[in-house]
Amino acid sequence: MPTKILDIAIEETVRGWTGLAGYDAALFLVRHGTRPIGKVTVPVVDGAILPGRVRGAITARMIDALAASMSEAELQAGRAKVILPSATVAICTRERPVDLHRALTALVALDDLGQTVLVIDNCPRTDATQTVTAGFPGVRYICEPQKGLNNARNRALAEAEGEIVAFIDDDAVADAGWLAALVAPFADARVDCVTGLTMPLELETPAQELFESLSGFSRRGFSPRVFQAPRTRPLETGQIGAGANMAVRRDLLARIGPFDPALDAGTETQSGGDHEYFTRILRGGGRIIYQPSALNWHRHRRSHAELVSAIGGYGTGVYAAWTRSFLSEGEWGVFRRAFGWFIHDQLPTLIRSYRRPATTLPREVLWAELKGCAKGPGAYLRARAQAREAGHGQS
Amino acid sequence: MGRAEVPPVISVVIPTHNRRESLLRALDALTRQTIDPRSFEVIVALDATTDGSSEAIQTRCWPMKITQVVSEHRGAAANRNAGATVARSARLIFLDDDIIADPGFLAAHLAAAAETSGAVVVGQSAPVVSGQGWFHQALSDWWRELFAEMQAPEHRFTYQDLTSGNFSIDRDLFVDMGGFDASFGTGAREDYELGYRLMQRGVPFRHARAARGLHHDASDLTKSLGRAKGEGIGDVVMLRKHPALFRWVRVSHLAANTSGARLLRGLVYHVPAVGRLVRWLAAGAMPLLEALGWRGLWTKASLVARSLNYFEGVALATGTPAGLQSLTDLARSATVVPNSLRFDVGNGFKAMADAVDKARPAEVCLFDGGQMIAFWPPMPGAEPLAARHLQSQSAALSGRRQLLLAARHLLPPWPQTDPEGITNVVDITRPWPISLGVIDVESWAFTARDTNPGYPMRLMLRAGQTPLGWLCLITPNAEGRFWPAVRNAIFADAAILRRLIAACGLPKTLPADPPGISVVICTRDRTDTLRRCLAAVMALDYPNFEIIVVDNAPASEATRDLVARMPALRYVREDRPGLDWARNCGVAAARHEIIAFTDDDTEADRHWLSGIARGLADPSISAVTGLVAPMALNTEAQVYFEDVYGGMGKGFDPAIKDRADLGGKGVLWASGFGVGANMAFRKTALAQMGGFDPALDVGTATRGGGDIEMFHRIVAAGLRLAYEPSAFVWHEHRADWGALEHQLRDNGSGFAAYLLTAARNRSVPRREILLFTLRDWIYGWLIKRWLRPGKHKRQLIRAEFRGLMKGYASYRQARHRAVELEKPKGSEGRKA
Repeated sequence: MPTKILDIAIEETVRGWTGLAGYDAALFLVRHGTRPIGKVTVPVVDGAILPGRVRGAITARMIDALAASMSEAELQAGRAKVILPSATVAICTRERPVDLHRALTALVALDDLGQTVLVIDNCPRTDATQTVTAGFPGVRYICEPQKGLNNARNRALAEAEGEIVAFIDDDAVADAGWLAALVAPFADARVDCVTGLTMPLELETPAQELFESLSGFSRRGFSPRVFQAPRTRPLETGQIGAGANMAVRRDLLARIGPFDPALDAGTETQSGGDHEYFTRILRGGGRIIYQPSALNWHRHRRSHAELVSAIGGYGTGVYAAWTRSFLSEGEWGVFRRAFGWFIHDQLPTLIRSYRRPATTLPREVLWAELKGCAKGPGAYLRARAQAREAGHGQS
Repeated sequence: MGRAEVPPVISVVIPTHNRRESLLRALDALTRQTIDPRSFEVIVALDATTDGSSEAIQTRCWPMKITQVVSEHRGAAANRNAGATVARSARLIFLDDDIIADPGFLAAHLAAAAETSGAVVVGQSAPVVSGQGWFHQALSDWWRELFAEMQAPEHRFTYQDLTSGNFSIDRDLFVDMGGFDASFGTGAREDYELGYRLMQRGVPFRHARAARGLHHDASDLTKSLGRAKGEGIGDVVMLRKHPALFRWVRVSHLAANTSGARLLRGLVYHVPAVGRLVRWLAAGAMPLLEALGWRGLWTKASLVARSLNYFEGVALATGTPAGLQSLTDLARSATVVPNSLRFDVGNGFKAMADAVDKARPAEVCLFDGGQMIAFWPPMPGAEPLAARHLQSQSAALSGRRQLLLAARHLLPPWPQTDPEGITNVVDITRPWPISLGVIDVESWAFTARDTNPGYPMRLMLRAGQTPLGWLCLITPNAEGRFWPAVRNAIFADAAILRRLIAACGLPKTLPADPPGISVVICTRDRTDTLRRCLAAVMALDYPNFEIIVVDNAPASEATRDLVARMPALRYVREDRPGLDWARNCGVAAARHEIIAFTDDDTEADRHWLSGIARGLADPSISAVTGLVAPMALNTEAQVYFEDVYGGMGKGFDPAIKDRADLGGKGVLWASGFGVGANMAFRKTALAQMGGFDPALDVGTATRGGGDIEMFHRIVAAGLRLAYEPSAFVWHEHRADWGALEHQLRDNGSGFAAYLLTAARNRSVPRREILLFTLRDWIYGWLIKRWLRPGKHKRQLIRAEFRGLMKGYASYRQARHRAVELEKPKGSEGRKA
């Protein structure tokens, strides 16, 4: 049941589309000017969408977003220019030259804010990444030999010149206005971190559809949100965003420390590095903004096997991050949170997957998540030991 | 020492009281300044110090000149004043002894002062707290938030931004103001008080981010609670001096006329022991709550403890409730009329920014025509508004105001003159008759539907073909004007604004090839209403349609004669009595693929068929229903039917009825899909369904339900039905109570017959129909309404119930008759 992704202006919602043979539906990202204001899924019939269908599917919510965008545009006219802090874009990658090439092509075409682009090549086995990067003059190549995404992120924080470091995944494509939108909220000195909206780059396979519905990347809506303790509990980071589309103030390094090298891809914990960092920011009283106009497009995993392992890795990462929060920050709330997640979400879904399989996710995905969760604490302890060893080896 | 021959450019005044180590650290930091140590002097104001601070300073050698001033214990205010009196430079910096200045501290203060001459410059005190727990985190957050807000470009400074620990001011100004008010003694708030006087005098405030020091705040919970009490006392002292501030200070919460405030007053004035107990419990619970990780409760406990301390301080300073009352009276007499700027957005935001910068008002009201869309309130002790303060305007706009700003661009200029002939007589004792009218927002064309329009008035707002909603005008606006009242009504309705943006803000749907439509009008001996109906249908703006009048078992030839006089109409006669027989006859006679039905007592809108075609443009849609609006609201019965019973309209938002989304219950509420007075079908869908059921509707014993049953059958079969409000007709509701009662009785029997038909056809499982009948219709709609009628009339509910009771018998009778009638011809209608 592939879904075509289309990026349209609000004025285009009246027209029809043809040539969509092979697709069951189309997901439209609707913009007013350059600002995304909503998304809508419309079924494809006989390879086409009739004129007026998209318009008919527009909801009252999108009208509100359109009104907000129109009035904002008008108010912008009388507004003084705000000086934005300087920014560096960091893309952490490992052996994915094709994706990286696409990502860099988009990054060099970003609106110019005087930014620099860093490629952090994490523990490379080949020189493919270096070769791709060499094709983009002005992009700095840095090799981080210590394996682990969080090591690469820390390296980026250390190497960046900008006051703000914006992170994007190598399998994501940035919208032209991505960086400007992501950096804009930092004009407020209280903001420590900004996350953006991540839309799917393609939904060609069932695994990608499933990932889209699971990850909730694009489910956070189209109006900005503010996260700050105590209104946002520090462990409730799932709603904030992900490392695929975030920017942090570089001086966080001094205030709350680096990303935990024992977490995230490249280590046994597989993920969770970004969310654990959000937790620490919130605990430190920092403010995180979700800024939907900071838009990028993420290519989800194509095969079912990759998806299942990614979901398992997600479970591991969540539990590993909680293990760290408990061990390093003495955060007892993780138990309540783990219990709540299991009782209110995981267990009922699992039961439902046996009773009414059609209404839930495939069972093996649910099991993969649970198994991943179980592995989390052990994985964190081992990864931490490894990271410490590596740290000693270096110093 | 004593090397400086030229007077220093700046004097740093450090008040201190028995904090030797802290003081020495602060002085050390001043030796590392980027500016020449000979260009500034330090005045240490020792307040009854007994810990040897003075000696410790003297034993060391300092690069800058240090003067000591000793005073007996009179409080921070007097101490700072004493320090200021010996200053030799033109600029004073007040620095607390627990702030470690950055090397660029003095330079930054000087630079900021040079930039805006005469300004009070508030530096940044970055908090360094002495502990790890939530209290210290909250304390540190409070400080950080304070300075982060000052750094925001749109920040509006208030008297509370004068943080006495780190600010600079011209000495002459300080002396002229009389310095800090020493009457505060050892209490708090002397800084706010000075800040207020400076604001009153119009002294500009600036924040210098670079004038930074690390503030070692040694507070803990106990000290902070004690300080809250001092703040309570200080606020009272300040309010006695400046009563205009009353509303903005927390003391006013205690004086409020609410049950909470009364309870609080009782607690702090009459049973202070209980107040102290509650405070002690709350403060005592905080460590426990923190250990448990209950942040929300901890925050509440902290608030309770602090507030009780604060109000205890207030009680201490005011003495008795009478003391508080005298403070309130003082405040009432000191009301200030703020200097206000009213601005209309029609002139543009740029112009507004210029006007605000020129006038520097205390408050700004932003208007759009008569409607206020944003307001920046006055606040004593805040600097006058400038354009930069308004830059957070979009945040100040609520969702409806955003809709409004977006919508006002889509409307043409407002007409200057009101339409003529509106009688402005308002009789509010009678909510009817209500005049009806139509306003097209694309041209502001006003069409009254009454010959003698007046208030109260109900106006259908439309944008070209698309109806947007009803505007209810009970009166004209205060000046007796019509259009301003219309504008206010439009701008007050978010749903209308949303539809307006959708209709006018988005490009119009591209016109498709208009398909041919057969309009079928079934009638029986009502030539007077039929004449009006036909006149409207013949005036439709649709290019490709035919009109078929079905004369159902007529008693006379009047209808045929009427139709014969009008060209281009087709006349068909159906002798079997029953509306559904007539409808099926009309379908058989129709030449086009789309068949639209309306009743003989309606008047179709000019764009009716365009709306029908719009609804059916999507090939997956098999049937369309449209909006039915009241033709007149002249009698109480008509208003009751429209407003209380629910009328015939189904709202102004298009909808698609699809079995997949509705579920069994939703499919059975087919009366919500539309009404027979305004419906259209594809011929193929009607053929697939087998036509209307002749046992139902007017002219048979069941007296209704034929239209609803068809909607239900279509949706239950999995076909899709669209509700399209842009296809709309006006319908004449029953004018008197007797006729209305009959109509509602027929509704009851018709609905019962419809449910019996559905049960016979098994279009949904019978179990669901039974459940729906008992739970949703009989209980949910009839009995519940009868028990709690509200505006409903029990007599009319009883009529509906009577219809229901007779439903089964009449259904049996009508079925029997239908089978009988079918026999001789046997070609039309639904097979039994």
